[in-house]
Amino acid sequence: MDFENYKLTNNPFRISPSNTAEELVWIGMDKLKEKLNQRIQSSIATSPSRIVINWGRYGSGKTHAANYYTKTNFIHDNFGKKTKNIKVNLPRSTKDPVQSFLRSLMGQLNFENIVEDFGLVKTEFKAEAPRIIEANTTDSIIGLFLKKFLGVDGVQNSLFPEIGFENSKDALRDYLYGDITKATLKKLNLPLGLEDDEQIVNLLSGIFNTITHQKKIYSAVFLWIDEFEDIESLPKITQDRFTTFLRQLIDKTPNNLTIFLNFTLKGFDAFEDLSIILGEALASRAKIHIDFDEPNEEESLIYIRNLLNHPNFRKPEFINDNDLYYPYQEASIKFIISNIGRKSLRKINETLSLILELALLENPIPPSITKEFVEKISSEIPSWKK
Amino acid sequence: MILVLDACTISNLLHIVQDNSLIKLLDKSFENVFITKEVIAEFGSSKFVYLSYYDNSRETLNQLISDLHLSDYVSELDSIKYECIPFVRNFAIVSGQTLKESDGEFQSALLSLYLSRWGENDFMENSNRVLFATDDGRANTFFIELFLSNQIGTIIDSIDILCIFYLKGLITKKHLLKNVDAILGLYSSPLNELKQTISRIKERDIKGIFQSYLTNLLDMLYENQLESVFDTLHEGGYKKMYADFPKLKDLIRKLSVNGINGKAAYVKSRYDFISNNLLWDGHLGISK
Repeated sequence: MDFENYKLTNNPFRISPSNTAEELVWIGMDKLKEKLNQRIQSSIATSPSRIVINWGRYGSGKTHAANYYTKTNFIHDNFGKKTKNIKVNLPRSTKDPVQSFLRSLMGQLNFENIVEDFGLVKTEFKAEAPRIIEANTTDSIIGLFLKKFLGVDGVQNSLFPEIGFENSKDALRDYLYGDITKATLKKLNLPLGLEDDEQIVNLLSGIFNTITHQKKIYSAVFLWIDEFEDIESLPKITQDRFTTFLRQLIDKTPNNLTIFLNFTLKGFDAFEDLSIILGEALASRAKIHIDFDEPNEEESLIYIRNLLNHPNFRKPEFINDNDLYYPYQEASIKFIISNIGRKSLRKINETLSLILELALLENPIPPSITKEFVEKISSEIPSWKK
Repeated sequence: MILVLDACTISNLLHIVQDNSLIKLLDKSFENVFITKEVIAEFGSSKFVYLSYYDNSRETLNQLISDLHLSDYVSELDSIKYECIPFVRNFAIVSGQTLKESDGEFQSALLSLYLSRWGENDFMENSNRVLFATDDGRANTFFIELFLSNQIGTIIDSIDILCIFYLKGLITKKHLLKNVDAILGLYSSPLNELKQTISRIKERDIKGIFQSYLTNLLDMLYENQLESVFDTLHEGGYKKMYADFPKLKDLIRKLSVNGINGKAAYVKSRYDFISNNLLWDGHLGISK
C-alpha cells in the first residue's frame, strides 16, 4: 500500500498491539494515562506492595498499556527513577501454571540481567550484601542460592569468604530454569531444587526484595499479568493454585512490588465477582482498580487526529492544522465512529485501517475520504451497524 | 430419598473438585444411590471424553474411577427394570417424544420408575421419593412429565445436589458457591476455547478485514451475544473467513448445538440466587 498518497509514511491504525519500543506510542486517552501514572508514582514514592486490577472491555487498550509501560523507557524518562518492568501473559492450557509462569517470567527477567542486578547489589551494599539477601529471603536454601549470584563476576569476592564462588554461571542458570539434577545441585552445593510453588515464591520474592532494598537499585518492580481473565479457562483447582501463588508472592514481597492484573470484562461481570475468581484472600489485596473506559466521541476524535499526525506516521511538514483528520474528513470520521457500535480503540483502529486501505485500492485514489465514500463501502466494514 | 445418577452428573461432581470427595458425600445425603449398568458402561467406555477437562494423567483417572467402585451402586432391581419399557415407549408416543433407548438417561428413567413402585415392603412406598440427577437438558425435557405424572419424584442436576449437601451441613456456603462457580467454568470451557482460538488466529499475519471480523466475534463473545455469533455462520463475509479457518466454524457450530448459552445463564442465575441468600438453610431470620 502506498500511504504516501495520503501524506503518511505508514498505516497509523495498527491492527495488532505494537511490540517494539519504537513503535509503542501513547496517543490521546490522557485521563487513563494520568490514572496509570498516579499508580506508578505512588508505587515509586511509597513502599507497600499492591495489586491493581486493570478492568475494561475487550479492545480497550489494556495490552497496549502493559506493553507501553514495560517495553519503553517511559517510566524512567517521566519519573526519573529506575524500575523493573515486566509483562507476562497468564499461563493457559497448562497443568502447572506456576512453573509456566516462572519460565515466562525468567524469559522477561533474563538470567544475564539478574546477574547484572546482583552485581549492582554488591557494588551498592558491599560487605553487607549477603546479609541483605538473607534478610530479604524467607527460605535459607533460596538465600544461599541467591548469594551465589554475588560472586559470578569474580570481583571483590574476598568480601564474602563464607559463600564460596567456585560456582559456574551455567550451574546457576540451570538451577534457575528448573534443572535439579544431582550434578547441578552438587556444583552449587545446594540440597534442594526449585520443586514446589512455595520455593518459587521464595525465589521471586527474594529477587524482588533484594533488588528494591531501600529503593537503592530499583525503586519498584512492576509486574503486569495480561489476559488474566483466561484464568477462568483453567480447571478450578489450577485456578486456586495460581491465585494462592500470587497471594503468597505479594505477602512475601511486602514492599515495592506492584502487580497489575489486566482483566477483560464479560457481559455479566461485576467487580464483586472478582472475589470468586481471585479467591477472597487475593481479592482483599486487590482493592485498587483502574477502569479502561471506552473513549467518548471527543476522546475518539483526539485519539484519531493525534495518531494521524504523530511523527511516526506523518512528517511534520505535511501536517495541515486546518485538515487534521486528512485523508479523512472530520464529517466522515464522526459518521464512522457513530456507526460502529461500542467504540473500543481496537475497533476504531481496525475500521479506519480497513477504510484507508479500501480507499487506496480505488482507481483513481479519492483525494480524501468523504462520508459518501464511507457510505458506499459500508457493507464491506464488519463492525458497521446495520 | 433415593438418587439415580446419570453419567454427566458423575462427571460434573468429579470435575469441579478434581477428586471424589463430592461423590463420597452422596452416600451421606441419600438413603440409596443407584447407577444403572448402562450408565456405568457408558461412563467407563467414554471416561476420557467425560473427564476431558480433568487436570490429570490417564493413569490417575483410571485409578480415580476404579476407586469409585461404581458397580457397588447397581440396584438389585436393575436387571428387571426392562419390564417398564413397553409402558415408557407408549408414554413417549402419546406425549410426542422420540426416545433413544440406548441412552443412559432412558435406562435411568426406567430404573427410577421401577424404584418408585417397588420398595422393600410395599408397592408405591417410594412414590415421589426418587430423584434422577442428570445435567443433560434434553433428558430433563423428555422425562420430567413421566416423573411428575407417574408420581416417581423429580429430576435434579449437579447444582441441586450441591444445594442438598449444603442444606445437610456437609459443605459450607462458601464451598457451595465455589463449586457452582466451577460448574459455570466447566460450561464456559468451550466458549473459552473459542476465544483462545480466535486470539491465536488474530496474532497471525492475516487480512485486515478478517481481523475486524474476529474482533467482532470476540466482542460478541465477551458481551454474551452468542446468538449473534451463531448468525455469522450464515453471513457472506464471515463465511469466507470460516472457509480459511474451518476449526473456528466447527467450534461455533458445536456451541450452537450444545445450547451453551442457556446453560451458562442458568448456572449464573442459580449462583445469584444462592449468593443473595435465597436458599433457606433452616435458620430463623435471613440466612447469611
